[in-house]
Amino acid sequence: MRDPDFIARLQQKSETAFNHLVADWKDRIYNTALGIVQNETDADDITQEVFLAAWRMLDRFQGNAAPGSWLYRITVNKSVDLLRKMKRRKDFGWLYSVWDGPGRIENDLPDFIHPGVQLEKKQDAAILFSAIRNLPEQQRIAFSLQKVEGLSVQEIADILQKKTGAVESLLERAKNNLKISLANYYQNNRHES
Amino acid sequence: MNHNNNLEKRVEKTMESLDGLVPATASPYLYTKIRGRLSEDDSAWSIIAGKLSNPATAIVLAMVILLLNAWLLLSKPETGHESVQDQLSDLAYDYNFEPSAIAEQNNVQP
Repeated sequence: MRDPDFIARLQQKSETAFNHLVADWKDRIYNTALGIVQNETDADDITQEVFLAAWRMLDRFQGNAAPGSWLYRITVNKSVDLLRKMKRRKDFGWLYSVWDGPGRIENDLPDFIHPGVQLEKKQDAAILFSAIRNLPEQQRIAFSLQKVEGLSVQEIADILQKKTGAVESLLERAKNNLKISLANYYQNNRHES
Repeated sequence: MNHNNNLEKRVEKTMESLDGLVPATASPYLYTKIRGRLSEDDSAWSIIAGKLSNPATAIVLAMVILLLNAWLLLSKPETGHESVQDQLSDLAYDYNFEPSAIAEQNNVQP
């Protein structure tokens, strides 16, 4: 994928090269977006948006960078944009609906179950995903990239353009916050524990 | 104590529920959808229609038209005043209404 010839063909807007790029990356981009936004339709839209943005910005892509990190970064940015849009919609209610048309807020989403979760873990995973939604934005992204997409700390640091130490700290805080949130949940819903 | 241990175990079990997760796969029609959107984007009319169909743009456009109308209406009275003056002058001229001439007619001769 770092093949300079392939990148040159992409920058010349070769449809065949673009087709290869989509074929190679679509599942990883979709899975990443799905982990962050927790909605299949939104993740599908974001995946399309990512490749459309990549196609438009190919001439600005620096050949020495890894296309993977670049695509992941676009995915994270698009997902964050959507989450912020839903948060604004929740905060400003009717005003936002007049200004930007009808739309959903994140609280409207049903419990999310990732299609790749093992059958016996589905119920626990739904509770965990619900707790992930309440994490601060950066913690939510770092945790999703690690747990859902299976990326290493170094890869997450490249995507978020942070130092590895900062990412490790984000992940640690995310885990601690999730444990507190889950403990509260099980204390309030004892029949489920 | 026992309750706390159970709670801790339950939380740990939930935290591990994403272990062994199989990555989700994108729609098989994704490339077709992207190609469709790329060809849609190329049309200038679709860009204009897309912008105009946005409620925010429509509201801004309506505000601009209203402001333009208000500005035109507010700038009218000055020209209206001038035309009234013109009409009075025309009327005075048509009827030979000249105040100085009337004053002269009533002059008492010594």
